[in-house]
Amino acid sequence: MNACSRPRHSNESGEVLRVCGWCVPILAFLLGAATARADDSQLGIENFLYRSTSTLLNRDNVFGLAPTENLFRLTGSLTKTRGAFGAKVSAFGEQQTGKTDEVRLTFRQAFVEYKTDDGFLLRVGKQKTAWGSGFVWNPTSRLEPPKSPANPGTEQPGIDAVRLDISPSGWASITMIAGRAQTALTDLPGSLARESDPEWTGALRARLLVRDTDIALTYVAGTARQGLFGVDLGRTLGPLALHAETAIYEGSEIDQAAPDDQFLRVAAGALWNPGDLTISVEYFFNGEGMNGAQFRDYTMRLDRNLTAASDPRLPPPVRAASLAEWSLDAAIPFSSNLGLRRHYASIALTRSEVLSNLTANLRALAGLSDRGVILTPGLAYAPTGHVQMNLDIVLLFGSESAEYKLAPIKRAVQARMKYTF
Amino acid sequence: MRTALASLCLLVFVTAGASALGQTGAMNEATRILEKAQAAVLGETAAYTLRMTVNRSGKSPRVVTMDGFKAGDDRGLVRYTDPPKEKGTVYLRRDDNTYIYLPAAEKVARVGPKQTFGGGDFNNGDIFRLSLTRDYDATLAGEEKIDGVACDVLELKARNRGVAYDRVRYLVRKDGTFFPCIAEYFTISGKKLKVMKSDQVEVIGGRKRPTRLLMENALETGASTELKFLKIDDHPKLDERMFSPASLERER
Repeated sequence: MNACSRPRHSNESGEVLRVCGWCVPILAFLLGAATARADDSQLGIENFLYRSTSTLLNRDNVFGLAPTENLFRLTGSLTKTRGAFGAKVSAFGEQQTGKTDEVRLTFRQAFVEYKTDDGFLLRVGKQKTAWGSGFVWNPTSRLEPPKSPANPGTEQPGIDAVRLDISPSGWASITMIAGRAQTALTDLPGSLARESDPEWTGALRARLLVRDTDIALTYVAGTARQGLFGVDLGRTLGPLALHAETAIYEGSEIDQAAPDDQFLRVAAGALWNPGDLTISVEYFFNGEGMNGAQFRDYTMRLDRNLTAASDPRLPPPVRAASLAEWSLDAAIPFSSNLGLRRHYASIALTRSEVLSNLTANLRALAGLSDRGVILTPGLAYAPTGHVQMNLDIVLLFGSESAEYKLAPIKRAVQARMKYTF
Repeated sequence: MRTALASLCLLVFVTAGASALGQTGAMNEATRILEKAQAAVLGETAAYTLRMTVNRSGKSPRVVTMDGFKAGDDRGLVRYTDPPKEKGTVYLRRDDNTYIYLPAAEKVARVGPKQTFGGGDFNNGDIFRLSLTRDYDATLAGEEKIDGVACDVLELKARNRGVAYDRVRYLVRKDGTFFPCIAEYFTISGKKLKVMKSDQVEVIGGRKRPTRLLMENALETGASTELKFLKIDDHPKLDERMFSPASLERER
């Protein structure tokens, strides 16, 4: 199988420009020059290193991944405020080193806004909503790419949108967003990277503070989404900050052939912060997730279709049909969904000042339905007030048939450095 | 006999009443002193600039500068302005709810009142719960001299367990300034947790007041956190809606 048959959408989204390699130093120069005039500015580098492997999904390396896939980025952001007006641009140039010389420029955010202290906000451009109280999973936030469950600290891009906020009082606020939702996963290497068409979507969110309880009601609907009604609750109980975020969805995110499916997702958790230690736990129920039998059917179907697609004894139309079916199934884990199974849990421990300016953290993500585990130990080091460095290692554990072990990645190293001017 | 009994009852009633009135009087006086002591540093509303220095033995001090806003006893907002890597972090207090906005994570999270503020020795309750009179019952418990200055000793007992400390021993200058001198914080079992000193009286924002609060951690040798007021405006115009969790979601 060659690269043409990889499960990759052919449509190019408007926000990604293809430019040549020499644009990286030009981008750096422009960012450097603009920095002098900005209120806040950052320059950084990110390097995501993936060790690939054959799995049930990537049998015989059907994705054509190199043994080591590398994703290198030069990042920059600028923020400027003048009175009630403000603007922000945040972008990165990315190269999949060893794969191609092509550099892709992606804007994470690029917007202008008008904001006042009485709660009014009008923001136009590429932006993030980042709402929802969940630490790892945000079932009410389905406008932009979800956080990486293995490392929620990595930055995700926003969407092209217009946002209007109004606060009738200090305890009530309404947010309206109209934009081009894009929820495919990001930060994936090589042929796993997804490029999908944005979908026109509208969202309405009312946020209230009633008797010391945060309540947010969300409704999202659009051209590709029939409807999503979400409720988000937050409250402090003694030393614990508790949250529960839930949404009822109409239309499957896993199976495009089931647009009328209705299902529920719930994320609930707690945050505790004794001294220099921060502990967070969260449980996630994914109502549209597969049960054990469905998941076995899914992996067997992958295997069967791939076998048929590469069987020279079968007539070409049969092989093509099998390949098409395999492509659809193989794309599911990387497309717009929050997981293939039903029950998940996460725990994150962060210890600040382990040594001077050094923070250590450990995140564990468990697929409770199949006992797969992703461990992400990491270090954050800030040698000066301007520099922040992060190093995270993503390790996958579990049986070969566990969801997390489907990923054609043995382990990953994610290094980020940011200089704030 | 009946007259004697009636006289005895009257005596007991009057004595008990007088004693109760005396206690109430002492409590009222203590509350009055406490109210004045609180207003001695920051008024009802305030906009201020603060520098926080966190000291830990064997580690270099961590210095954070922040802009703060206070509206009444239950609205507070603090925004980090330096160092650059922490700039944009915001703490918000509204009634009994405390939130933090972390720009790196682009996330608003709730935090508990007893959690430490900015990784130092003050907790969120110390910074934002500025109304001790609302959370504690105060009684006068004598007099002490601190650096040659006579101070009233106030005993503060928590009205409920949700507040940051169970008991506070609070010393206020008797020289008419009502400047707080020292506050000692205890657990319910009497274990001393922290000691806060207020000093460096300077003219700032048009009037004299203590400009430094030093919190020493009694449980960790060499651990302390200093808050130094650099600028105070006692009469800022603040919109109530800036103290809302939704306002944090509009940060960028």
